[in-house]
Amino acid sequence: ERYQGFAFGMGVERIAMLKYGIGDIRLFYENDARFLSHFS
Amino acid sequence: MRISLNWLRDYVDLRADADELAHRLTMAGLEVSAVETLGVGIEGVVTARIVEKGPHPGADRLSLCRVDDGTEIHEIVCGATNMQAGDAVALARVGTRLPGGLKIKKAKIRGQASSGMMCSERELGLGDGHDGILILPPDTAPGRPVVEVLGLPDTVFEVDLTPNRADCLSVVGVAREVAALTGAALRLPQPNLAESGEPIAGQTSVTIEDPELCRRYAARIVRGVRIGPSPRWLQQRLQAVGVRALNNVVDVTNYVLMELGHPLHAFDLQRLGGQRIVVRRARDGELFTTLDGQERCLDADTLMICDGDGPVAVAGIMGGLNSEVEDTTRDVLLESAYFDPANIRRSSKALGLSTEASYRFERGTDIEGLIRALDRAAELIAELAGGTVAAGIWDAFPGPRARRRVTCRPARVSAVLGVELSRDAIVNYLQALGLSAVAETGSETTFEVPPHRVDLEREIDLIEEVARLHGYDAIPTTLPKVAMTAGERPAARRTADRARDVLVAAGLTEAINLSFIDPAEDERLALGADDALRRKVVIQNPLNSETAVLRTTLLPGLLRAAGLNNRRQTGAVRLFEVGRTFHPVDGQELPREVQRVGAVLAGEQCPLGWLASAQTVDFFDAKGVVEGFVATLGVDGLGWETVTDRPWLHPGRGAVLVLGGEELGWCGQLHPDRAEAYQVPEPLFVFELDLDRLQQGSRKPGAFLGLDRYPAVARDLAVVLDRGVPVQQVLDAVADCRGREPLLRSATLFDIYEGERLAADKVSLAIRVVYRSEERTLTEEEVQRAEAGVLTHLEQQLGARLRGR
Repeated sequence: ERYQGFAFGMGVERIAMLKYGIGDIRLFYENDARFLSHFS
Repeated sequence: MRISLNWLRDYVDLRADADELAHRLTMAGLEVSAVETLGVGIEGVVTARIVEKGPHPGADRLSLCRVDDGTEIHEIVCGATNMQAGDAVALARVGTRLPGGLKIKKAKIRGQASSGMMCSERELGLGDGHDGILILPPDTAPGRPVVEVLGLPDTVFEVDLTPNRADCLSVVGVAREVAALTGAALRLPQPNLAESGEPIAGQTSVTIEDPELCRRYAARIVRGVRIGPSPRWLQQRLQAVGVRALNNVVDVTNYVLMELGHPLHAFDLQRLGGQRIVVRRARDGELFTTLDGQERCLDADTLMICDGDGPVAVAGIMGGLNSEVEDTTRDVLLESAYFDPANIRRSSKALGLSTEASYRFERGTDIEGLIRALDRAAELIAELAGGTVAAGIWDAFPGPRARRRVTCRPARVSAVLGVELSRDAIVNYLQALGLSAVAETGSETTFEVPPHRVDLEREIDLIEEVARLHGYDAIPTTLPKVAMTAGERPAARRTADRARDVLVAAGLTEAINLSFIDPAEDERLALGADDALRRKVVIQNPLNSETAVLRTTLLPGLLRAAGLNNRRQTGAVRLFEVGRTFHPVDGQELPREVQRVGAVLAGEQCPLGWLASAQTVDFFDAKGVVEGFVATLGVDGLGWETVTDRPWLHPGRGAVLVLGGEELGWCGQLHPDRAEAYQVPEPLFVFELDLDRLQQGSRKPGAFLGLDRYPAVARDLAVVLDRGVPVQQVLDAVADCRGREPLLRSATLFDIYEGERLAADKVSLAIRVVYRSEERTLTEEEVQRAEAGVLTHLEQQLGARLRGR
């Protein structure tokens, strides 16, 4: 009763996948240096 | 859950049309995912009777039937084989339209005239059945519209219920909701039984050996029944909700299950040993054949219904082959019981057996309402199958509990929903659901919860009910009011941001790794058995063994990433990570969390190009990155010392960063064996720093000192000293001179020489020393005096001598 709020989950990676057309979520966790070159 | 609106109308008046009602129910949390109309488009189809069935003269697989529609006889060619003379069927005569656009015409089929079609379920749009034509109940009079006979048209809702609404798994349950939502009156079935004969107490007995798992078991007996098909209206209702009709007694139990939501079971009384019931757990390994013909192996956690000899049913899930109602059954024992939901769920999973009954028991049934269900079923069986109901109910109810009470504060309801609701309005809403107000103080009301609402446990559950009935769409939309404060990023965040910016500017790429690592990394890093880094926070239910502990160093993630990049030939390895490590603390529940920055470097210093020289990174590149970063933090008093105890570093090729005697981090070349274990290119350089401590030591720039106005004098010195003296010491020694030699401004190493012109154990350091005064231009004598002071100090401290002397 002291704190009220909203709770919801947002798949940040999944939204990025939709926005940038990335097909495999694991690419976000591998740290392959080439991954970022697509966004420069 | 399929709900037939025609059936629903028995219990509540539906004032809205189907779509409106579907919308209303959906908004109240009972999502209507599909609305099906049955029996539309078949108005022209009539009932008829097959007077004669004979073979088609010209085709083996067809038959020729003479069908009476009450007015005339039609000759129909038919390909189905499931009908016989005397059967009542659904006839579409010439000129009738069927769903799907088919119009019946006079036809000649293999030389024989056919004027009409006997329809299957599918042709009538009533279902998928097309193995044969629809056979109507034998007492159906010919010549009537078939929709009348079938109780059509009907609308069927497919309702997707949330798991907490077990009370809606029945027509009456949904009727309750409709009544609460629309204000219409609810008409519950009121069984009106005619009992006769001996009291039930003399005819059977029920013993519950496990009252935890079976909190109530009620039974009735109906004697002298005649097993046969159920009447048309009952079969049709069962079909509308997706249940197969079998025989009148079993159909009644299924009907009451669908109507009231309480699962019942009918036993053949004569097949029960001792004509009595014992409710007990099975024994481990006991075998039992359920009425689907499958033999099951039971365990001691499964509750069984037994007779005087042994098991006759798996409680709450499925009856047994040895006790089920058959065509010759005359006396029926009806069971209406309450079983522990968790146990039924467990047993259902263990046996891989899920039924309409187990589905409801798992979610919680109405422990009081089971009596009404029992009476209703007994009444229907007596009515439809004949027979007399024995007097009384055997009701084994070992531990009745008082109904649940929940207290609700109207002020809180309004606060949570954001709508002002009066106490009376709230009470009205809850009363519409069957709750009753039993106590009242100024600020709160206590309600008694009806036993069919197993999901209402706390005040917030009641608030949710008020919201549902009031309508979520009736709650006005407002923006939340939040007190604004000027925030700022906490210091730890700012330091992490700074680290990222500086390292990216140094040409590294940020890597992000999970904080969970594989305990086996300790071996790959060759940590000593007593190494403090081995003490880790262990995760209680890890996803897998590779994410089972919390990291105490950023190394494993960075080295794995380096290995992956190396295998994929992505180029030079230049990765850093800013992240937390977790260190258990004795006597404390929570670990100490330290924010660190780590990096791995290998490969070319610069990308391939025509102007840059192709040099690979070395230790000093890594050290330079560290020093560049640390400089931006303004931490005073940092120094480097030789590393002694980092087993993953190449011996002799590493250093620790020290502040005030404490180690803040380290930097060095990865040991070749570790490099092999992680499949990283060699040489690979790594560092890791304690960001929290660095940030603590950082200071903001001090007061501006003004720019130097007088020229400086730079003198280069070459000093020879023993190999093995750290350069830092030499530079520190020079810096120490500042006290006596205020003209000293800086000393920078710019060359190192070792070789032929020196003794084997000596090395020559070339240092540029800068002298400057704030007040005047220096004279040659002053500079020489200062330089002599420096040299003397170096000689005294380190035995360093000017080269050439």
